[in-house]
Amino acid sequence: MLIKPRLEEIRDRLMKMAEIADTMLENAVKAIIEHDKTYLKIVDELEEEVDRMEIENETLIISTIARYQPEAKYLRILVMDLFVNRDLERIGDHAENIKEQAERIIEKPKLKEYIDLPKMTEITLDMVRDAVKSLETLDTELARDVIQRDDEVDELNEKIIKDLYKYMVEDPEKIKIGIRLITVASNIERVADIATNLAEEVIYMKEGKMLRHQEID
Amino acid sequence: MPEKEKIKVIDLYFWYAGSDKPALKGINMPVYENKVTALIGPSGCGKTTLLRCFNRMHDLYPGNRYKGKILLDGENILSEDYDLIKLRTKVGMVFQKPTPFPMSIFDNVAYGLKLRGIKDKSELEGRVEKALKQAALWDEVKDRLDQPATGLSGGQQQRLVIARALAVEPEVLLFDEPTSALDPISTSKIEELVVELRKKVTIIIVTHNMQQAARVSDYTAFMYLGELIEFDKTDIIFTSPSKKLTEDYISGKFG
Repeated sequence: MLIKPRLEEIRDRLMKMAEIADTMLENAVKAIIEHDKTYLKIVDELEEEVDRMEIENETLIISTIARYQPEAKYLRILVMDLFVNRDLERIGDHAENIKEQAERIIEKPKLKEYIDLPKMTEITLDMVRDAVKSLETLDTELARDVIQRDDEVDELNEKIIKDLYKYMVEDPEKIKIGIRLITVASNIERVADIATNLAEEVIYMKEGKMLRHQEID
Repeated sequence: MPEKEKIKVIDLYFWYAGSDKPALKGINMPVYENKVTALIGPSGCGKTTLLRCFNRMHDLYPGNRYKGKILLDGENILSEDYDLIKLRTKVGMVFQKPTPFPMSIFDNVAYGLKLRGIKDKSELEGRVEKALKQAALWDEVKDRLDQPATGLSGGQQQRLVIARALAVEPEVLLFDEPTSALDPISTSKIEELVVELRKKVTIIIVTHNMQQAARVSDYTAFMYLGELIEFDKTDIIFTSPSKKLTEDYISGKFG
């Protein structure tokens, strides 16, 4: 099959892009948790790369569809590759949003020791990593497991917001920074949603089932 | 890495005997080394005419005329004093219908080698085996090399012809609709073979089947009414060609 080397090339490129998006997100949040700006530098450096890769990958995927006229399994894989490509770029965007908040948050003294934020980030990063791993091997069992974990992140997000409300009500001086931290948490929450999308895309590739907007068994 | 030009077509015109209307009108294009270049376009566009210029097959009929240049490794193959034997050793050709000679499988592949004066049995055997392996036919015929080539299936015959062309170690291979007489499975074998062979030789392929051009080629030349309309990377021609005529042809509006 002449299409196979192209599919492998696309897969390799998506894996590399996932690694970059992952590094961006990890460092953006780490800067806040450790109250240290130096972690933000790498986010800046990688942003352009992720954007460039998105365009290159999209071009490659479209031309592969045009040239090899894929059907069934190969069609599902290539169309989902397009979505995966965009999803990974969006993870990069969210990391960038977090970085912008982080720059301002770090200017001020630390509001509190963060407990739920690192926890939420860890679960989210694990979701992204497992979603990407499931993509690499088309492991739908792992993909389904990723989808199950999204609720934990949603709950932690709610908890963080409630917790920050308390600080903001007690001391209006803390409102600005509180709002920024809430923005950070919602960006992480969006990344967990994207990891869920990635997992759903893997399931469609392998099984041809569309799971979006459904409760999973 | 920049591509290396194996062949360069410069302002090429061609007239068939007795016609004052050129069949090719001012063609300029490169053919890159170790790449597959596809010539596509509707019937009568000149793609086969162009292909046959690369080994000067038109010379077989008196009265055919060329103008312009085709540089192969920098030398103009259209010049009067270019050695045609040398040209056809460097540039092999595979036709639409398989053309096995009425002799054994082994002798078919050894034919060109014997013609070139190679008599040593073990050398012949070695080179026949190598060529058959390159043409992905060895496993299917290794136990019946002395049997007539005409007993092979159409797809096998076409691979035999490719092996015969490969045996004399050409630098360029011309394919003229190599799969139009074959079933889908044989077709996909030949397509895979073409892609594999470009590692060793430079390939130019004429095909009516646009999807085939899309699948096997690195570069595509779209021709229309004797002119080269557009030449570019196949990825670009099939996704965002720059000429409307190319876009219309690719999307099936004519042809």
